[in-house]
Amino acid sequence: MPQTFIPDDYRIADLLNDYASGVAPLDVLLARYGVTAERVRDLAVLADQLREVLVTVSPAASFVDDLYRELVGHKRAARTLWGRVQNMPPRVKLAAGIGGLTLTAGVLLITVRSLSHILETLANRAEAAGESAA
Amino acid sequence: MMTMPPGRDYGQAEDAQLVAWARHDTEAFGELYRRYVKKIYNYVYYRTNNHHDAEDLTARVFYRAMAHIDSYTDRGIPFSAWLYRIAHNLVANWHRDHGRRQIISLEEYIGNELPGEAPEHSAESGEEREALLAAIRSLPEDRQQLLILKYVEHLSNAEIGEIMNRTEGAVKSLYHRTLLALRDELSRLQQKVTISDHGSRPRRQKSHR
Repeated sequence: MPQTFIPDDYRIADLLNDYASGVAPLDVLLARYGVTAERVRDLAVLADQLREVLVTVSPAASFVDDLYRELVGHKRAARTLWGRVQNMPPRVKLAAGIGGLTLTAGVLLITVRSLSHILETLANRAEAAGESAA
Repeated sequence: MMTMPPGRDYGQAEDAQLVAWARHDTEAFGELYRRYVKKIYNYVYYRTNNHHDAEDLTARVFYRAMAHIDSYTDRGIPFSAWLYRIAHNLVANWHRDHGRRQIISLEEYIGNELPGEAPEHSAESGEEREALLAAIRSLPEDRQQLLILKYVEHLSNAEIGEIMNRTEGAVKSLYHRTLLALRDELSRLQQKVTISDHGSRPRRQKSHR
């Protein structure tokens, strides 16, 4: 219940908000807030018109369904490397596997060859050092 | 392919729980989407006045929400309010990119006739509706937002306050001022139409009940 010290504007704002929310019919609210009909009638009519014009619309069902599929099917798991690998198509996975193995084999081959080269060089040096000492 | 983790009842879960799950579970995000897609669409539709842009912006709202869901923390702002804020920002950008608000013609409006509306609207009521929509679109952004949230989304003043970052009292007051501004704008538009129609055909003045 509004207090007497509340300025008119606040009472009218409360009344109009209650009216928009459908709390009670206008005449009941006018009596409750002690406001004369002349002061709010045109605004109440405007509120009625807004209720008629601003109706809920429905998005196309196909739009709602398509967007749902896009969002839920979205590759959120793809944030990690493992997630990305899991979401790859089988052919890409196979190609990536072959590529990975080839790369690994190449690196291993180079490493082994380099190591054997180093070992051979060291062995030659040791042999040369032994001969010169002799 | 994602599978539903055991013990998760998406339909019964509260928004906050779904948000927590949605950080690693797209099905949980899908449930949030189902709950709010129509509301966000409505909000965007009334701010853009066409279905194409409403669909585009609605999709962007949910993509952005999904991309940033990790950064969402419930600090007194419900998930729904967070979504509306994203929508509000995207719509504001859309209006900025389009230079000015679009004023659609009556023919275009009728072409976009809202689903579920009765077809027997007379030309007169169509003109009144168009005038009212034009007047709404001439209002500042925050007032348009308030009217849509109140009348289309049927949100309470407290909920509107959470979205608009205002107190409930401020929302009430803004609503009152919005009605006054709308009344003045309608009156101005009617005067303009009456003047432009002068000599062509008589025009009935709107009678207030």
